[in-house]
Amino acid sequence: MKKQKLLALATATILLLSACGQNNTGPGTTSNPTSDNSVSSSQNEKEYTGVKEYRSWTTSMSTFNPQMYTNSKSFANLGSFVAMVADKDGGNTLQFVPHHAAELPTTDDNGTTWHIKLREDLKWSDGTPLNAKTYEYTMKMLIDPKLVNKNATYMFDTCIVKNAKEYFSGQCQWEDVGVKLINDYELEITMQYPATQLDFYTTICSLIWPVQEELYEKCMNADRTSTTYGTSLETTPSAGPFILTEWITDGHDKFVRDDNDPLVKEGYVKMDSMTRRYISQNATRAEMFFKGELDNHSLTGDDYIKYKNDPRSHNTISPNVWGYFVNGASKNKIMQNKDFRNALYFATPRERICEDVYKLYPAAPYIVASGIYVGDPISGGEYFRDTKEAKANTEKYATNPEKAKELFDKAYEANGNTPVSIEYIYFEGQEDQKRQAEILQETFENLFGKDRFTMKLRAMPPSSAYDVYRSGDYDMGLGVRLANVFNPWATMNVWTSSYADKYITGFQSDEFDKLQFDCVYGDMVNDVEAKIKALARMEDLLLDYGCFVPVMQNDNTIMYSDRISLPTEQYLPMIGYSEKQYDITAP
Amino acid sequence: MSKKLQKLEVPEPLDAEKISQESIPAEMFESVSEQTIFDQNIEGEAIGFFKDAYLRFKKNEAAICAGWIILFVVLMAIFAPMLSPYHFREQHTKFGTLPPRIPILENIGIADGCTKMDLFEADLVDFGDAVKKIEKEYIWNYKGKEIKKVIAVIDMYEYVGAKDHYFIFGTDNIGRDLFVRLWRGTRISLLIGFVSVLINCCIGVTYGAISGYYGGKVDMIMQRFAEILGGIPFLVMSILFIMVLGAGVSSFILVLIITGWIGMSRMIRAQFYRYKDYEYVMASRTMGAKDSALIFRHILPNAIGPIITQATFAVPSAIFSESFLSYLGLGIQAPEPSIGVLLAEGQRVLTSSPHLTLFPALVVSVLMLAFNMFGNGLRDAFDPKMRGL
Repeated sequence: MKKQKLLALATATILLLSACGQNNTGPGTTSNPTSDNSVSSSQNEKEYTGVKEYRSWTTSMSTFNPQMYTNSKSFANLGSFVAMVADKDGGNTLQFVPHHAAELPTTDDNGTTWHIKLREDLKWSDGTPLNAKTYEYTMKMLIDPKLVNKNATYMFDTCIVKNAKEYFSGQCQWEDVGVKLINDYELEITMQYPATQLDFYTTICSLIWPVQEELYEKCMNADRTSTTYGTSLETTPSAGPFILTEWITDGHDKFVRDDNDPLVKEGYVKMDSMTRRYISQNATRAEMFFKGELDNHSLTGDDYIKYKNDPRSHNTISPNVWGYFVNGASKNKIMQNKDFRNALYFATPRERICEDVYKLYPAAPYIVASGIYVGDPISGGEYFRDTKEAKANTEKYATNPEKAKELFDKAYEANGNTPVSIEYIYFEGQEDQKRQAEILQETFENLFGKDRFTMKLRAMPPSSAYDVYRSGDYDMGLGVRLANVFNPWATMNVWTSSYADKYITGFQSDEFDKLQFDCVYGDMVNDVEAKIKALARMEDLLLDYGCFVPVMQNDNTIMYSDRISLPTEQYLPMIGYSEKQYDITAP
Repeated sequence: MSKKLQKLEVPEPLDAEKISQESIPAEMFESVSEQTIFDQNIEGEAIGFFKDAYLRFKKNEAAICAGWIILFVVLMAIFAPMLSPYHFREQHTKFGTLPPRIPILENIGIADGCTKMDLFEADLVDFGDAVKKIEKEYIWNYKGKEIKKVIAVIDMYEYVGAKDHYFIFGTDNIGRDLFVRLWRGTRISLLIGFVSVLINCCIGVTYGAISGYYGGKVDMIMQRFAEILGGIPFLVMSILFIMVLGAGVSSFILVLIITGWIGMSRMIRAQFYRYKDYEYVMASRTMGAKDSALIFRHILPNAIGPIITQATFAVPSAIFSESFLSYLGLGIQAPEPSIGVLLAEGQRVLTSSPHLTLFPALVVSVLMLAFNMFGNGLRDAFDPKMRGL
């Protein structure tokens, strides 16, 4: 009898606490938008009102300076003009919502001049006001010619802010740059070329995170060439959905929800806090995930067999294609032979590498990934690889060892029937890439004949490898060029003749340069059909020259612990499963 | 002084002694024995330094056993890759990370190519006939849903269609035979160990001999140089060297000899300080022997024992350094294996494919232990204090 009473009392207490918890979520979350659309949440999950801590990981975090850090496209502790989120109604679609902006930016002259109005109650976590002046200062510092910030290209890459590049290279004054402060809460941005709404929202509005002027200046060195801003907890202020509260270099960081943030107020953020541990070894992450110490884990090939059908596994679609940069301008004479470069392309065993080494990545006999979306994702569009132009390229450039052998024979003959040797660079310390290199070496040597062809393998740190590609002192090497999901034409600029940070491959085409310009800034900007054809032609030109041998698309599979409820069932371009909107449904 | 040996002449006894001996009458002398006294014949062969050391070494059973083990490993490193049906670079990418499968043993359930997997019951279909046994069935609760799971024993060879293959140490993740790669790797590791030690001995002996023999300012300068070189952290220097020269067998050997000779040179210097003032050395010098003859012909042979002992200990140390550097990712260039490279590859998949770590770890451990025991045996055998025991 006593036991029954105790049980009843305990149940009543839990129910009461649950009810209190729901009432205490604040006015911004009363509508409880995420739980409404939680596709897999059960009644039990909705009832969870305890501490909602998301336990994640990252490999390392060297700086929180948003103008310097390049490995991540979002900072949990910072906001931007516009946020990209999964819609709150369970529609599994991407939405642009004003974040620091009071409303979505507008243009009144077809994309050349943009007006951004900011909210009037914005503040940094320490109480310092955040307004249009903050953003003006941020942009000025971002393209400061002395600081030479890594992320300066956000101002003149896809969308070119008027004179931003000139200011960055010291050729004009800040007053000439197309950033104008209208008043404390309004900015006017003038572009060099008209920008589409999609491009403007996904670049200028989403990639420029504010910096706190007073602290930024305080952290600047005497000759204003570098700053220690964002290098310690004390020099990292927050103005986003979360506040950075802990940061142990090489250890972990912790973010706590900021209830004053507009996104939080509007109910997009459900987590109380987010802790990220810095773990570089995948095996360690796997062990911690299965022990319940981490809430997500990226599957590797071996695990993939066991967990591919696990309900916790979620596929991602990458906009990037990994492959080999092939240097047609190499000092090694054979590399200058087009037949030889094409032979390398057709001989590459991309299917075998993907199926037997990576297991979960699809083979990619193309440069533009299947995650690249053409058209407007809001009003309608399609994935580029689903278009007939893209399919034609895929068919034309399918792996073909016989053709490779034929082309090699021609190149060998042109080389005076003398044995050829090339060097292949891969990234050291990455076992899968080493395996890939070994398969490539064995395949090439067996196909072309070990007496006629040899391939030397050379391991290098990734940064050194990319430096070598820039210098042109290489034959062939592994790497990737990151792509813009919604504007692949813009990221094709890395292959144009005038691109500043070019990897030397010897590829140069006036036709390519013109197509790229016309698609991004010229006549074709608003003509999706023409742009699709142009993109296919650009891909064709690159593959025909043989400057890049595409191999695979790194579509990862991520496992989420059963305490996580995702805001969208489908992987969305740019934001994936929208991490900042995750909900926690169990302790 | 004349170089020819002078005939030694016995000096004449003094007159006073003659007189005293002659003055003793003969009858006062008594014969001790009627028998003729001969010197005692030495029975058996004369035992030289090395023979004596060998005899004592033979008595050390642990060292003998270690010697056999080293010999076995060396022979396997030389011949096993030749005897295997697989080449160390031969890839069967469909047969990645297969567990060991050994004929005969597989019939008793050991090394039978099977592995336990925790699977969803629905996924068992993918494995077909490869499912040998269901060890456990259980229900896994995921967000209120009950999902059937099983722990199944899967014949991986059946699953990947490799039933006609026997990989006795299993395969790595692109299907290369670990057995052949391990012995090939051991060959590389031993090569690095032996060559680096040989070069270290040559440099160390010459450097230490010159330093110890001449002494004074020469010794002071040479020792300070060695101290400065020895003060550079090994790991930092190794990383820089490998970064500049690129990974490879020759780079590794170079890394191991940059400072590896210092220990040997110090030991040799001590030996020279000890022996250079011995009478026989002084005599030889007095008789006009050149410095080089004194160093290499007269003094150095005294250090043969310690040199051999130190070299024996240096071999496992070099192998360990190679393994250590390879483990840190500074290993020799792919696709060439070494024990360290195999260990580094194996540790990344330690939980899912333990065989990739187990066998290289076993070989390197046995090799280290054997070399150390062998070295201990040699040290005891060459120790002059143990002579005759």
